Amino acid sequence: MAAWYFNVSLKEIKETVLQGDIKNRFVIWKILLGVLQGSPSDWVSNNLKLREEYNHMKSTLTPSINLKQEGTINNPLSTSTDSPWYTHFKYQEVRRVIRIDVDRTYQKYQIFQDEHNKNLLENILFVWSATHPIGYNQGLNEICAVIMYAVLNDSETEDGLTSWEYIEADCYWIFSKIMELSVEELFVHDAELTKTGPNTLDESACYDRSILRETPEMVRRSHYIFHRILSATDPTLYTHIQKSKYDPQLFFVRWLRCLLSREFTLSQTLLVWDKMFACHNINNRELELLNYICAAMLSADRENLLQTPCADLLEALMNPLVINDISLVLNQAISYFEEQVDKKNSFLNKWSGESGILTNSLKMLYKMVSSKTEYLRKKPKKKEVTLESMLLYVSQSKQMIEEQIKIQCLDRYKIKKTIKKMKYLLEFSGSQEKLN
Amino acid sequence: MSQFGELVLLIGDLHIPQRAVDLPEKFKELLVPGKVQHIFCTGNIGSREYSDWLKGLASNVNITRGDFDEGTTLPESKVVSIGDWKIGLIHGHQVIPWGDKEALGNLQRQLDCDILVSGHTHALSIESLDGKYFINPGSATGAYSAITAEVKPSFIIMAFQGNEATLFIYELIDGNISVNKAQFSKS
Repeated sequence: MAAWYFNVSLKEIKETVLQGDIKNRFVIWKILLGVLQGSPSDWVSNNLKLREEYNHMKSTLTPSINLKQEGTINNPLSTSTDSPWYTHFKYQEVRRVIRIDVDRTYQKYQIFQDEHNKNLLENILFVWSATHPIGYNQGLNEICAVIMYAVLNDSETEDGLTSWEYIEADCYWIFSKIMELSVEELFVHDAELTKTGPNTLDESACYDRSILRETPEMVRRSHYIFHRILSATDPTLYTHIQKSKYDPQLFFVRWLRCLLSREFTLSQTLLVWDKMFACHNINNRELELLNYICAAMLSADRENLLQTPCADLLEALMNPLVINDISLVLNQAISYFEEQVDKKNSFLNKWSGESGILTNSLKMLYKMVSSKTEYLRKKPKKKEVTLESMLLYVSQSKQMIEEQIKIQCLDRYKIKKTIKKMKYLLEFSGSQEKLN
Repeated sequence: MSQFGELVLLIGDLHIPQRAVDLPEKFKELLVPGKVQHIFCTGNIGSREYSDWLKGLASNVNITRGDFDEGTTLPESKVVSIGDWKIGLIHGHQVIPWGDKEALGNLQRQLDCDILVSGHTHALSIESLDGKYFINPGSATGAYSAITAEVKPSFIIMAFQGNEATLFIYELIDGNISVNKAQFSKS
């Protein structure tokens, strides 16, 4: 009898997750994050391939030391980067640093005191650190530990998708996938930040794509949550905190880097991550719900924060209220997130129907227009600007552009074609005489 | 780590500052903490500073008393077990004639060790007699010796794996490090 997740669509899985606690969490996470790709019938075999790949990676990270080989490079003290001994000691050092953190992770919980589990955690973190330039950073152990907790509290499945024998490989791939969702960039070290872009942003810079492109992820994200989300969801609180001029990175850094695992109990964290993954769209570059939850958490503490004077505000922000009932915060975050998604989808659906050329540009267009609207509405004299009026203006420009394309094409080629073909013609007219 | 068992450093006769200013730069670059687990030092280090430096290199440091190690409470000799091997350590000025294989053989039988590590002659050598091994790591600084002409700086790293021992012999020849290997097994 096949498990429930084989027979339902991805959309249904997401809805089930959003409604409450779930069974077979570990497999569901793999599905939601895209670790299990393709159609359900491929999942088991894909999973096996991933496990093999992990084992292969692990074995390449064990330098082969042959005591019988000639000694010029193959000696224990060799500093040559080609020497397996050098690699061995390098890895040993990485493992040592990782182990210090592993030994401190969630020691209140028995499963994390267990030596075997500690070794698993160390191995996963080591393999990831050795294969990614950013290396090991504190906080990675927290994220990985939550994933391990999820599987250890789950049960083995008949299809083998959750299996005690392969915990290490399975956890690795979930971890790796999460890191790819812009979490890795959050760990770029502060020293590098100051060299490659602004280390803080003012409000207007949050709307400027050319600045944002150069900005390190941690900076960009904290400022986005603060200046763009919180200012829209809770303007009073936003204004109050903004007066203190504290850099939002200060209070968001731990929330973002540990994906909120340090702010809740482990069981609460599992529920929070369930929702984050359920709201994740495969095309997104980051876990967007995380941003909304951060804003919602600040709002949850608003009574306390609004009464705190500026001088004490930083401390209050960094030690927020302990939340016992997380459903309120989660629901607030999810509803605001879904509102934004609906706005965007209705725009895209309305405009992408006809011509098909501007699909990616359409998304960019929406981003530009909506951020411009948000920005303008903050100005005292422009409060009446709405998304609709901006879109109307822009669509008029779009129509104007299309008109121009049509005219140029008719002039040059005396033909009427779809916008796509016309654009193509105009761009490549030098190299081709005619187009059928 | 279990691929090559435990690493042991054999070193001695530094004579700093009496006969040498310092260890060769290239040796100092190689000898960093965290690589070897055991150190056997034949003695005649010459100063507290270098004795402390050795103790910082590894967790298990064994040093025996050399003829110039006055005012110290170092033992004359020591026998330590590593894996299946028993390793004896002595400076060597006590064994007469100095550097004589048979005289050392006597001592080896007394100490009942598989490998006897000794120094004093500053002459790098690895020899065997009756299935037992005698190793002299030479002088790590190339310090002057009345007995041996042309002393080149040297030390040895050993890797033990069960009954097999692999030696990496590091010498400084004409300003460059040369690494040679030797292997033997316990009889």
